[in-house]
Amino acid sequence: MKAHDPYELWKTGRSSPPVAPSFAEQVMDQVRLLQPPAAARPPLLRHQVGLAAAMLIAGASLILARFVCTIGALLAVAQKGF
Amino acid sequence: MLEDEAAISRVLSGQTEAFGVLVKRYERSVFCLVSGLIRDTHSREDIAQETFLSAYRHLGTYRPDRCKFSTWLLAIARNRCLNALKKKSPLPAARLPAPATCPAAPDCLEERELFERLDMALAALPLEQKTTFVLCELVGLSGDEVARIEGVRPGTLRSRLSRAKAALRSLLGQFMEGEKAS
Repeated sequence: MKAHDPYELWKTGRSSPPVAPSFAEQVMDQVRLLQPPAAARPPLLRHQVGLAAAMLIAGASLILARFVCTIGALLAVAQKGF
Repeated sequence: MLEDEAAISRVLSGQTEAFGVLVKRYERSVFCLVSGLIRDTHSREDIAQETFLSAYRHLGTYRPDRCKFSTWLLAIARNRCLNALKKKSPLPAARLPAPATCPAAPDCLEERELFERLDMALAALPLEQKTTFVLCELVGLSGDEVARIEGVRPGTLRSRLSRAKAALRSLLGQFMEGEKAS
């Protein structure tokens, strides 16, 4: 019979470990000391992430282009002489 | 009794006490997992408590469309146990789980000895086999849930589980043969 199978008996014993009756209350005492959890913000959609990345790249490109133009203009002026 | 999702919504809307429903509902499952992996009684209680506190803190990140709350909670418990095992000294004795309770303690010395051997065999299993066995056979989760927690494919999980069971059954067989011979 399954009930007398020592392996099954062992599993049954292991499946129901003793839990202190006050355990839940102890946890709740700790929980009451914590800040209430905030609901998570909705996850960013893929296209929102894409749009943000594109704007970042565009901004960085503009800054780089402006920097290159400035250096180019300075070099041109330096070559021709003031 | 509140359903998990209703309790979670209440907690997130500021009714902290609703979390007690979840603690009561899952304390046994968490203890079952933790006591299968950790020997020290105090550490077990600490880890179980930390599991619930961590779940409370991060409750806002739980996504019901991805997995059941119990799966999410037991994944936290499993990770806490693995972290505790990594921090502690790797002595085998420190990993031995506490002996299982014997239902008829006074007249079952042989069974008690067998249970102790099975506990030792469980403790000696490779960690991934041990966590798989505990989650599937002792906590009673489905294969899909355990595969999600362990982050492996169902085939890998089945193979780990069958190896763990074979090891324990083999030990049981040896013990039975020894008993017959003596």
